[in-house]
This record gives sequence, structure tokens and C-alpha cells, in this order.
Amino acid sequence: MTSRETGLLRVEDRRLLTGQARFVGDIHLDRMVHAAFVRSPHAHAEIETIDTQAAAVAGALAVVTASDLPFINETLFIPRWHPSVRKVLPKFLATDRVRFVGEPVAMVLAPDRYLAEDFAALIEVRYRPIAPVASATAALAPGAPQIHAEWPGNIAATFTHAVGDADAAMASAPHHVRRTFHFGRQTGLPLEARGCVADFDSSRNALTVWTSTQVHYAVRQNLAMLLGIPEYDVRVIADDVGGGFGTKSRPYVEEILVAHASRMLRRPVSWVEDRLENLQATTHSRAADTTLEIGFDDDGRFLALKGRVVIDSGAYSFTGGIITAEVAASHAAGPYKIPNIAIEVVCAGTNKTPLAPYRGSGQPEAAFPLECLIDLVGGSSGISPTELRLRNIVAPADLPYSIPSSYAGKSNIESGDFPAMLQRAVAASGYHERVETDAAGRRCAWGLAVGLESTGFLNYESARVQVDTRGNVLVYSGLTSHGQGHATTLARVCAQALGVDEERVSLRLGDTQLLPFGRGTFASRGTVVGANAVHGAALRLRERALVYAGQLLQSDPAALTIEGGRILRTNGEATPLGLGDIARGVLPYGQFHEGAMAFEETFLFDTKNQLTFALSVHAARLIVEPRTGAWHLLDYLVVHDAGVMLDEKLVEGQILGAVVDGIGGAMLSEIVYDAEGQLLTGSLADYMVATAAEAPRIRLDHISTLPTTNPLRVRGVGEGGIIPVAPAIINAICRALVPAGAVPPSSLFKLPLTPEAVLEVIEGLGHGVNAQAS
Amino acid sequence: MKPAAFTMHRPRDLEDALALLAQHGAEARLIAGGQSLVPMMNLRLATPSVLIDLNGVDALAGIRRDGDLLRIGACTRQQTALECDLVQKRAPLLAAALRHVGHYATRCRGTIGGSLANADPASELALAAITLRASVTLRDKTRARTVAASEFFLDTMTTALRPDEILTEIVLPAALDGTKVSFREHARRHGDFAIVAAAAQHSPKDNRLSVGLGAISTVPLICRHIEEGFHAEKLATTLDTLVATEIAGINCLSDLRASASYRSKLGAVCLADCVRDAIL
Repeated sequence: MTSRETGLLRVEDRRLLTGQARFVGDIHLDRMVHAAFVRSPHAHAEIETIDTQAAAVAGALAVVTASDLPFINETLFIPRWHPSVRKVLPKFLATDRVRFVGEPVAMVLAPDRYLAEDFAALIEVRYRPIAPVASATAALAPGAPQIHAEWPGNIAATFTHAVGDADAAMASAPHHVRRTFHFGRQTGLPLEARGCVADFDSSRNALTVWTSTQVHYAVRQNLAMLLGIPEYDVRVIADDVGGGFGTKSRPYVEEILVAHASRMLRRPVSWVEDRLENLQATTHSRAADTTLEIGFDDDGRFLALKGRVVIDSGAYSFTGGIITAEVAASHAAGPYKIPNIAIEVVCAGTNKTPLAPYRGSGQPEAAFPLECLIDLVGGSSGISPTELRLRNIVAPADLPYSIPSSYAGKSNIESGDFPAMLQRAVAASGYHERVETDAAGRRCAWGLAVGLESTGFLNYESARVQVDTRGNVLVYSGLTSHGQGHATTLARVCAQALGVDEERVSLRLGDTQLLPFGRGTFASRGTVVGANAVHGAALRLRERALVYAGQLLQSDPAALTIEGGRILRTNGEATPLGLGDIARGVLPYGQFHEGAMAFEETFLFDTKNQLTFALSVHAARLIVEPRTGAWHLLDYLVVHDAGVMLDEKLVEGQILGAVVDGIGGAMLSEIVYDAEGQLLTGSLADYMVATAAEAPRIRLDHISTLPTTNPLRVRGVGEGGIIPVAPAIINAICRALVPAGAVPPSSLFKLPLTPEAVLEVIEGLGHGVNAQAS
Repeated sequence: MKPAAFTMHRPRDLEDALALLAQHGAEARLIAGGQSLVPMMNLRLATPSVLIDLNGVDALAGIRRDGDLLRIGACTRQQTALECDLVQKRAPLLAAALRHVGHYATRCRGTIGGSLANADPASELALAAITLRASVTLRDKTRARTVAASEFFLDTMTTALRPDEILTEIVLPAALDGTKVSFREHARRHGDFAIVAAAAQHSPKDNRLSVGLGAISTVPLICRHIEEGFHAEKLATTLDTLVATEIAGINCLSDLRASASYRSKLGAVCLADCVRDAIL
């Protein structure tokens, strides 16, 4: 049944909505056994002894500890590191010390997960607790307990991102505003937690792993390297993946351990992460304290930006390491022309779960301080914040505008009309800078913020397009799919480039067996890099088809075209040929046969390391109840530039989902540890995310300008929807509460912003609020 | 998050259930809706070796009028009670409270008695029970006893229920015609555990006001200062003072959702709003 017949917008939805998807938990193999992990209950402790005797006696199939691992002295392979990183990767299982609650210490194998957990409870680990480091401030304090010998002063990395001469420019700037901002620790929280099934075939020395990942090729590379199996004998399948949001964009130790166990036991092994493990051991993100100062002139032109970003990095430089810190520093100035920038970054080691990207990956962390600071400049200078943004934002006349970044080299904003988007957002939303008060004293205000999204990061993606003798088209992609709708968009890209009906195109991805090289889906790269690979392969195949058709029809290929899978003359006249006939000609015994076994083309799309930038402007209207500090959103508008939209509904879905995610991040979500480094938010009753009830009406307005960075002229849309959400909301709350001319207290710049914190601010402002309210 | 091994018994009548409970004692837990117990078992915070499933005991479910009283069987689903005409008409405060209990899916499974016996400080049903001066019937193998709701809840997750007893029903006075009720709750998200909740019922016929405050301390509290000091005509001038007196005596909970100080302030707002709703 086609999507047209089902009425569903996406090809994949019928399978996903009728329970026919295949997630890791749906894989059941003959003789399969189950793994459970013994995880550290301590934030920081020496391991004195591990006694596995009782578990073995009770019937555990195996108990694995660090000393059993032949690769214990190796590390996961990381393709790139920032030069300042002091590399300390986690051991696969803790050897002599544990450094965060949830760090794996032992793996237990049993016939089912229930028994595996029973046996895990029988393993006796004797710990000698060490004083923990439970916050970045504590980590950097003199005399703090040291987490790693390699991290003197608990500094995992430190560097300065500099453009121009920020010190001199700041000193000579006539006006300054400076503030400190706290972005709480949060996590991406996919609905399907992590998990993998490994099946090692000892007769062939070959390994197949089904895993819930965004990066199947990177997982393959690590499995091959660490287990000593040729890469072509390792097959990694990421079939249906129930969400990633960046948390699955790197290999994890559990994938290696489960594969090791399968080889050891000669049986398939399954491990499905439960939610407690997910909140303890899947990477966290954000956790950034930023002090930012801006210098500006009498006209509100930004002259200098200086800042210090302290990231609460957790216990290891995990795979992906400090990329969020790099991105936060590189994008500290957002889309604004600030000629002098100096951002000092300190990644502080703490006894917490390691940090890695989560949707936006450093860009929400950068936009929150910057966009709030611009509103503060507005308050201090008397110039409207919208006007300040218009005066300083990169305009079409400034293009190309260079954004130097440590993670992607020198990149240009080469297209877009940012001032027009700002003006459109103001006009379309009804945004204004007044405060409205109702009879009950509740205060309503708008807030606005801008987000710059760097998309298409990490070069190269692969695709292959094949046509069979019936004219059916098969697309292979190096991407993974976890909610993006690739089966819909990639099929459409191929159909349009090749000249066939979408219904004839099917997609295969998420399997390293399909193509020798690929990367996966993360960093808003699916369409920018992946769809362009499909586009390139389909165009090549089309070109070849027309050459063959020209030979058969004795026509200039330029006088031919392909529509609905049929070869037509450009004047619209039909020919007897279809793509299937061409494919028959290319195959053995066909008239064009030159040794090919399929009518196909493979394409590796090369971005030339150029990023594609996408801007979005968010306007939020909210109401604050002054008696309780509670606030909720009344209206929300996003103006976004996705370039060419491959599917408007899917673009909108990405943005809506990301906005709701960002609303949760601004009002609810925080991973909380106590002073002993104990995780207090180990369930979804305590780690709260936004639900439908917290989501206001969200209006979307698209402006499409065409990027020159890629042939499809698309911009990525996975992350832009979350980047400016928090500052749009906080700017609205500041406007609602703080009388003009007064300085908002710093407690308003802490995410998530709780009603309790808001009430304290209201009480602190005293009559200021009430006087205005009356 | 898989429970430890346990044996499950599925008695068909109350006598069998009570006999099983007497036999297994503290090793056993009763299960009805399982909306609190099962997550605790999955996290292995609870590891009962025996579960006695009350879902097959038909006599424990059902709602009936008994003169001036309403009797609700312990195994009645929360959603069933919420949708019941008799409850809406004769226990409107309970119906109002039920709307705040979890979500539709959890209410379809969770039971009235289960929620009361679990005695979470944030339980809306516990708050409604003490406000309405309800009582619960507790039975062991040999006898039944009736305990006032206000004496049933002893501490966080602790009740007067003995290990060999089953809570079989909750008994409420039927509301008089013209009764006005209000139930107000503040939570971080709809359906989450309450930070504070207040319940009030006013019957103009006998000019009687019942008020309770929940989630603010370990057990729900009857607001006697307001109940006794209330005069509808002087409400505007006296309510804030009555509320302040009420709140001042409370030892407020402090947790991840809210500090004691915030609970105290929010409690005052919630309580005053709730009383006004019920009277005006």
C-alpha cells in the first residue's frame, strides 16, 4: 500500500504505526541470551575487590569484568579531537576506580534479563569511596579531589576562541553589559533507549550487530578494531531507531562488550538499556555556565564580545568529547557582526555522566546567553532589542560572511536574508515590547530570539541508486533513520532526479552491508549531505540512461527526457523505452553490457567542508501568574529558512518537535545530582520533559532563500527549532516582570526556570511588579 | 528494571484473599491496578515474594448508595469512578479530585483503594477522603473495622492498615443537593505529582464547609481553622488570615519539585483560591 493510498504523509508511518517496526527489542534470535550491567552506585570510589562467585554459583552463564577483556588497554577510536583535549576515555569496564554513578563495572549474561538482574545483584563489589566532585565550581576549586592524573586541576580541556582583538575593543567600547547564564544539565531522551544484539558466527569469524545508533559505520569501525575482526566481516544494522537527538551519535562501550560476550559464549547476546540506565549512562549535555560581556557604541553597534564558558563535562572525555564546547564558542556571536571576540572555554571534569551532543550541540548553549544579553543591551541603551538585532545582524550586503570555527574550519554564511526574517517574525507574530496586565494581575509579554544553525557538518555521505529490469528503483543510503522520514524524502529526491514515480522507489539504509562507506544521521546533515548523495547518484544514472536511450532511438540524448520511468522526447512524444529496458540492456547479454552486474550508480557527496547555515527567528508570548511564579506560553511563532523544502510537512515536524523539546528545556528538564554526586533524577517522574499539555499553538512561517553550498539547495532543519527557544522565553519573562530601566536579577538566567525561581524574583522586585500591575 | 521473582495468587473471593494474606504475612503484597507497585518492583525497590491479585475478587469493585452514604469498592478503577453518575452527583469533590489523578491510561488501571492504601503524600484521593470525612473499611480474616480517613493516613506511604488486612471499601457521606465543590492543584505538568492541592466542599443547606490541603506535608490535612472560623459573608476580609493561620502550622515537605518555603507560599494561594471557588 502506498502512502497515497493510506493517506499517511510518510512512507514509513504505516510500518511504524502498526507495530511492524523492528527496534532492537524486537530482535529475537535462536539461542539468544541477555546481558545486564553492574553499575557503580558511587560517584567516586576505588574498586577494592569484585567477587563474582555467588553469581556464578547461582547460574550466571558468564560474568565479565575488566580483567577478562583482551582489549582493556585499548580505547574507542575517535576520528578527531580538539587539540586542547586531555584524552581520557572510559575503560570498557571500570578497572580500579569508578568515576560516576552508572559507570559499568561488570557484565552478567543469563538466559533472560530477569535472571541477569538477579545475578547482577549477587556480584559483590567492595568500594572505597573517595570524595566526589559534584559540580564544575567544586572541580575548579583549589584542593578539589582529582578525578584523573591526566587532568591537573580537573581540567579536561581549555582553550580560547578568538577573533580580532577583544581586549582592546572592549576597553575602548563606550558601553558594556555583562551577565552570567546557567544552562542546566539535560539529555536527549529518545523514546527507545540504547540497546544492541550481537551475533558472532565463529565458523566464519564474522559479527552481526543490531544496534540503536545514529552512526553505524563508526560502530563497525570500533568493533572491528577492538575485537580484531576484519571490517568487512562486521555488519552493523541500525534498522528502525526510536529517536537519537544526538545521544546515539557515537559508539558506546556497551556495544563492544555485548559483541565480545557473543564471541565468548558463541551465542547471540541482547542488551536493552532500561530508563534508569539511560538516565545514568547515556551521555548528558548542556551543563554550561557562561559569563558574557558585550561592548557597544552609542548607536547600539556591537564592538566586542568576551566570555568564559565553563562546561560541567563529567568524568571522561567521551567520544564526541568537547564538541559542544567548541560549537558554543565558535557560535558565541551567532548571526551578528561582532569584529572582536574572545571566548575562553574550560571543560571541568566532574564525577558525573560524560557530556556529548544533544540536539543543537552547543548552539542552544551559545544562543541563550547571547540573545538574552542583546535584550539586556536594549534595556541599558534604550534602543529596542529588535532594532539592535537589525543593526547588527549579518545582512545580504555582508555576504559572504565568514564564521571561523574550530570544528569545521572557516565557513561562510553565503546566502540568506536575516533582516527580512527578523522583520517577518515581528510582523507575523504580532510581537511588541509592551507588557499587558489582566484583571488578576497576570502579566503577558512577548520575547524574541534568533538562532543560527550550522547544518551539514561532517563531510561525505554515500548513496547508490539501482534500477531493475522492471523499472523499479532501489536507493541505498549511508544515513540512519530515527524519525526524520528519510524513506519519504530520499525516495522523492531520487524520483525527481531520475524521472520516476515516487511509488517505484524504495529505500534501504542503516546497514553497513549496503555501502562500503557512510556516516549516519546527526548534526542536521541528513538532507544537506545524505539527500545530495542520492541526488548525485540519481542524476548520474539518468545521464547514462539517456545516453543508452539515444543510441537505441538514434537520437541526441539532449533531445530525450525521462518521466514516470518512461523515455520521452523533449517535445513530449512517447518512445517505446522505459528505464527497465535500459537496465536490461546494461545487464549480461544486453546490448550495452560492458561487465556491469546492475544498472546502478554510486555517489559520494563532498561538501568541500563547507557548512550550510540556517537561521530561525522565534517569538514567544507568555503569561506569568505573579502569586505563584507559574508561567505558560500563549503563542509561539517560528520564521525559518530551510532553503528548498523536500517535504514541507516533514520540515514543519522537525521544527515543531524541536520547539517543544526546547520548551521542556527552558521550563522543566534538568538532570540533578546531589553534593555527593548521586543522581536524583533517575526516572521520568523526576526528569521532566515537555508534553503536549505544555505545548502552545506553534505557528510556522517559512522564508526560502537558496543556499549555494549544495545542488539540492537545502538547509538542515533538525536543530534550528531548539536553538533560540530558551532565550525567546526568558526574554519574554524578563519583559513581563522587570520594570523598564531595572536590571533583571541573574536568577532569571538559569535554565530550567522554575516557578519557584520566578516567584523569588517577583518578591525581590517587590512593589516594582505590583505597582505596574495595578 | 525487571522485578525479582515472585509467586502470584489470584483468589476469586475475599475470604481466599484474606486467607492467603494471613498465610504469607509480610512477604506478600496485594496488587490491584499496580500503577505504583509495579514500577517499584521493576526498580527492585519492592521485592515481595508473593503477590495476591485482587482483580479477580468481584465483590471488591462497584459503587453503591447506602442511605446517606456512598460505598465505593476498593478495586473500582479510578476512571470508572470518575465517569460514574452517582459519584458525580453525590461525591462531586471526589470526581473533581479524580480528574487530577495521573492520566487517562493510569486511571483506567489504577484503583480507588490502591491509591488510598499507597498513601502518597500527593494523593488526590487521600486529600478528598479526609476532606469529606470519609472512612475506610479494613478487613482481616476474622473481622472488619472502620477507620476514619483522617486517622488512616499516618505518614508518607504509611497507613493504619495492618499486614493481614485488606482495605475493602471507602465510605463517603453523600453530598446534599446544591453542594458546591472545588479541587485545585499545582503541579509542574498536568498529571504530575502535585506540589500542593486543596479541596473544599460547601453545602449551603447546612452552611457547612469542609476544607483539606494535600501534597504539602506527609499526610493530607483538614483545615480546621478555616472550617470553624468561616463566615461566608465575611469571607473577603477573613480568608487570608484564616489561610495564613492554617499554613503557619504546617511542616512543609521539601523535594526536587519544590522547597518547603515555596510549598508554603503556593499552599496559601491554592487554599484561598479553592475556598473562594467553593463558596462564591
